[in-house]
Amino acid sequence: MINRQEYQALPGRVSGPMYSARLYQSRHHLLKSTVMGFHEHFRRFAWEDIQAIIIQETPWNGVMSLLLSLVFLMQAVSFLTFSDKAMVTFLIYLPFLILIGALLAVNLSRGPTCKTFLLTSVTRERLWSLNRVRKARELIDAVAPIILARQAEAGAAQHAAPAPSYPGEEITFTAAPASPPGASPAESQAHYPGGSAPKAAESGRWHLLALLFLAFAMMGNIFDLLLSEANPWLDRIGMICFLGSCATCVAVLISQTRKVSPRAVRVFGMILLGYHILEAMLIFGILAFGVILAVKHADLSGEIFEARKMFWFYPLVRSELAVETAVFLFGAIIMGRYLKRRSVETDASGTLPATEAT
Amino acid sequence: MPTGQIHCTHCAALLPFAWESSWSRAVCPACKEGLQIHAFPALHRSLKIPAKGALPIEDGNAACFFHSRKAAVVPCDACGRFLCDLCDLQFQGGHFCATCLDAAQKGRKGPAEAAPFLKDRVFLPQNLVLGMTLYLPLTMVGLYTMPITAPAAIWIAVRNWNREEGMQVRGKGRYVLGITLALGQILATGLFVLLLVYVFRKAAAK
Repeated sequence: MINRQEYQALPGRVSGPMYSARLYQSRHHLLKSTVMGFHEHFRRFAWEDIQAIIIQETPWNGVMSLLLSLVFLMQAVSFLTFSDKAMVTFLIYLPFLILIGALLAVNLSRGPTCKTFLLTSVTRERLWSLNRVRKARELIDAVAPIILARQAEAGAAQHAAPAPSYPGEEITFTAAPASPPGASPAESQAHYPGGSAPKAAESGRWHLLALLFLAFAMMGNIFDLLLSEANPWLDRIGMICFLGSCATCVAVLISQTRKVSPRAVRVFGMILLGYHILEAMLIFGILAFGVILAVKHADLSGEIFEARKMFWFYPLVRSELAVETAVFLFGAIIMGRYLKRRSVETDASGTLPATEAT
Repeated sequence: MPTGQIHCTHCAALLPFAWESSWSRAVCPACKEGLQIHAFPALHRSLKIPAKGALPIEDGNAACFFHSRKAAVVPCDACGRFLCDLCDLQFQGGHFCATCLDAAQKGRKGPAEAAPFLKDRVFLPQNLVLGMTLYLPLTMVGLYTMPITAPAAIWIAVRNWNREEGMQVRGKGRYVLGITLALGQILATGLFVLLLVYVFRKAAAK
């Protein structure tokens, strides 16, 4: 029933197994299509109603590049320092390096990341398909002439049209007085609906604690990674710090009196969750493999275990350590960024930032 | 939203700048987020809200279907019911009643054909089939439910083969992949059952 001939696809696309988002243009409107699970949802925006397209730059491109570079570097160092330079070792390390290098190249080639919003008089809609600045600019270059033409037509029609059949009422809102550029956050907060800015939810000491734990865990991991022999004490210290950072995140979430938890801890909590799911899958896979081997080849299990340790287990542990270090670094960056921003804003205005509770 | 104003997309603070219909870069004074903004003339257009007041019915005039004491001004383009000024909802030059708008959004046959642009959701059985045959077996639970989900996936694929497609998910590729996987799973389940029977028989013979 949807006339697909009427629509033309626009630049930018996000796609996953059960999720995808894309924009289409038609004569009358911009169509936002989002596939979520078993349904495809549509939102339509008339060209006449689009007030602005806003691109908010995000740092994720740099963060991803940094993390991938780190993992790539660690894999390369691990390969170079590996004592056994047999062809098999080379063949095991090579796919890891190629995969990470390819991901890094793709990430760099796609350019800086962003969030894109479409503004109308009644709503502000996130355009999920546009998460790179280059694509967002391409889209705007494509649709701006249409929007300008349609809005010029609509404006002309509005002026030329006779009085409406029913009495119309022109409502002009009084604009809030604009503060000068560079105004302090406290001054800007005066424009919040409700008169005053919301109070900050927490002071930031939990973030500092999480940052310290993460830094210690990261250092322990790096030492563990560089030292070829297993060191139980370093493992224990790393594990305690890792558990400490997890416990800090949980404590922050529990201590919140408001429903909305601070963004930094929330984001890091989600990363930890995702990481642990992946790790659980990995461990489950290794265990399943070990059980099958033990059942099928009980007589050879000792030799197979040694071979597995040599060819699979050792690089796997190193990769896992590298990824874990990258996760800690990522968390530390998030926490550090939050603390830095918070300290700048507190210094400038003497008050806590209003962004916390929004 | 007041005219000519844009709020920060990160912290919702008002951006204290004058916007023109072109590219401009801005830094939010509250949260220091960098923004690139392309404003259009509609940003400065004042919001025109018509004062709706349905006229009372007079002798000889048709009445609104929903308000018997109000004069009808237009029929609904989908169902033909007479509508007063209050009930008349306009979209892309068409006039609709609230019932038809709701029905069109839910994809009911009559109203959705009259106003296809109102449909806001499409069911995608392709994704359901693929979810049942590809993603579900990747979990441990899916391995146990496979004897039920695989035939069910085939049934859903066959039943919805000619169903309306969405904008992004098109073609029969997902159906074909889902059916192939489902057939493979049925075969694997059958072989597993046969293997079990064989093992039990062998054990019983010993």
